[in-house]
Amino acid sequence: MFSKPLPDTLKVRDAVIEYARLGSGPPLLYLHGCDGVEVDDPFVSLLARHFEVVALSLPGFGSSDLPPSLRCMDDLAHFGIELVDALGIRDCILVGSSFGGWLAAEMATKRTGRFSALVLAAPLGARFTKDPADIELRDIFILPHKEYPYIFINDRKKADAAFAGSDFPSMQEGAALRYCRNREAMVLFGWSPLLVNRGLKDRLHMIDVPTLVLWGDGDKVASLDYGQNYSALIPGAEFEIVADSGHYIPLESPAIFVDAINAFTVRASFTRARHGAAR
Amino acid sequence: MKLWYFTEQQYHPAWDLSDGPIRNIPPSSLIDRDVCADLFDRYYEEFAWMEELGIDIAVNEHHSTFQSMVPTTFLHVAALARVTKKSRLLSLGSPLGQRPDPLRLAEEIGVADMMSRGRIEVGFIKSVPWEYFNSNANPARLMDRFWEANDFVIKALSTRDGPFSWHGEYFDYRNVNIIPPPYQQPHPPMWMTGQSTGSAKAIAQRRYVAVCVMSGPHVAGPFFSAYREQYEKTHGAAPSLDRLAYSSYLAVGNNEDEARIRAQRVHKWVEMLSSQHLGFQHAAGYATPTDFARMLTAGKLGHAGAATPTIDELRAKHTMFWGTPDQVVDQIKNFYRAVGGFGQLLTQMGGYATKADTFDSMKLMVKEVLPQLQDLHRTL
Repeated sequence: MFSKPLPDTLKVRDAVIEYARLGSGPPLLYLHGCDGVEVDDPFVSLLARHFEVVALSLPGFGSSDLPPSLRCMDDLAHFGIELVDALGIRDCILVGSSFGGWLAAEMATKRTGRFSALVLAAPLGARFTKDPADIELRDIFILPHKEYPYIFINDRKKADAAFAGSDFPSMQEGAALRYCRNREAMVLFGWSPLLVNRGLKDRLHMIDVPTLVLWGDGDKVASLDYGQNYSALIPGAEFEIVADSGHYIPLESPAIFVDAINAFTVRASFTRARHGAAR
Repeated sequence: MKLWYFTEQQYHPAWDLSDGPIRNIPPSSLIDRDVCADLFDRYYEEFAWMEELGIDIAVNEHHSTFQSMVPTTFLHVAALARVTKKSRLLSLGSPLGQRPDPLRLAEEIGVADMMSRGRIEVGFIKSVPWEYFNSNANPARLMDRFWEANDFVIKALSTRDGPFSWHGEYFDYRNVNIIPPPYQQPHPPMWMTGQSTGSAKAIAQRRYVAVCVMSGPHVAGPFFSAYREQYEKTHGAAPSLDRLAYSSYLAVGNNEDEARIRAQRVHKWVEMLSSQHLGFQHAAGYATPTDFARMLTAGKLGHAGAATPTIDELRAKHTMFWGTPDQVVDQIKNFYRAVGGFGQLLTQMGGYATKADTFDSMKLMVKEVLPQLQDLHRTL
């Protein structure tokens, strides 16, 4: 997830952003979770069989710069839209996992006309309960490093593979630094209010593209109820439960994740074509 | 050498009651309210004793921990302003990166300094990572926020000609007007803690007193040296010795056996330093990603830490001065020469040390140790 840098770079607002582009098919932009992305993550090559995939390290993550002008999620969402333009992607499928799902939802609420479909795998960023003392999202910042991976991925083997066993002294050069940059960027955007942008919940209805919300039935960061609440506020969104998966669905259930996106985008394009014909 | 008595006003009776860490998570029900109130009485008796001895008084703050019962220094500085008459009162310090409202801090400083007729000295600190979980202040970009808060507080304290406005990156105020302003003009003497040569330079540029805390000569030496060099570069003259301060643990006895017993009691606190829930050990953003990664690759995080050094090891490291008065004089002299001199010494006791231990140790410091330190600067 964070062990290797992505191969290419581009500049947006003087910030160097690393990314990878691979595969062919309809364009798909993947926004990673709290711990980044690398080309060797198994779901990336699976996605690339069906799509032209662009995966990038968001500002402050991996080796991507973090411009001082990015102070909060709203700033990041606007930056994300600039990134789409800089990458030259048109009419793309926007896919985000966890933190990246939160960002994808924020970008989609802005109705920029840049996205053909939206796939949110356990997105964060909203708060539904009215009781301030309710714990709706797990505090991912209060976790010993050795326990941290297993909060996101239930299968310990897969978690160890994704987090390189949390064996920092043995990691390849630069991996620990990338991990630490990811953690710091998460703190900047999600420390307080905890993984929430208070305005998002009341903007989710603005999303105007076909949307699929995926939720792992074993998610330890946010419950299925949370996912259903999220999905219910997005007009027409489909909600699918992923069996035997934790919070990082792309890492824990890569084949199901990719199949779900593939099937959904086919359905969505039929729907769009039908609507287009009716007009 | 100027001597400060420094206490964290610990709630040590709960250290053995908590079956987990003493910070962040143990319930406040472990505090017996009468024992707690009695302890405050004791601490204020100690403060009165220090004033009688002619020693100045330093207090600090910590949060959600049995390490300290001081959640903001200026509560105690203001109380001390009324129960003391001569001692200077040092707040060491306010965690600027954690205070959401530096305007309120400037107001607290103004009142305390006025109440004491100008006996306040003000320290700013970065604080410790686990307390960001309590304040909820964002650890990311903490030092940028810290320096803006510093600049703001200095301007707020120094301005006497009516309101000003402040529209910074982190703080926004439309009408800043500190009433009452501090008694000292333009503001009280300022202090800052640090460990790295980089922080020493930043402190020197501002002419603040630079404090190195329980670090030993291998850290304090380069720290003081960097301060001196930067001070001279920025201000065109060498800093006076009182710009540099060192904070150590202390236990003095009339003989070595008595001193050893007292040192062991103080040492109980040193044993508690690593009493930490691992989830609160580090807040990303508190250190730079490079430093954070260095800690991870060196295997310094994710476990309770190395075994606590013994009192003999602490003495050898110059982080605890303890022994008979003559032994303590020798230890301080050796440290002094190793770091190139400093002008202010903050001595911390606490732990399981009793009131009698504290009274007697500090009396010995004043009557027998301090007189032998007054000409130290001639030895440089």
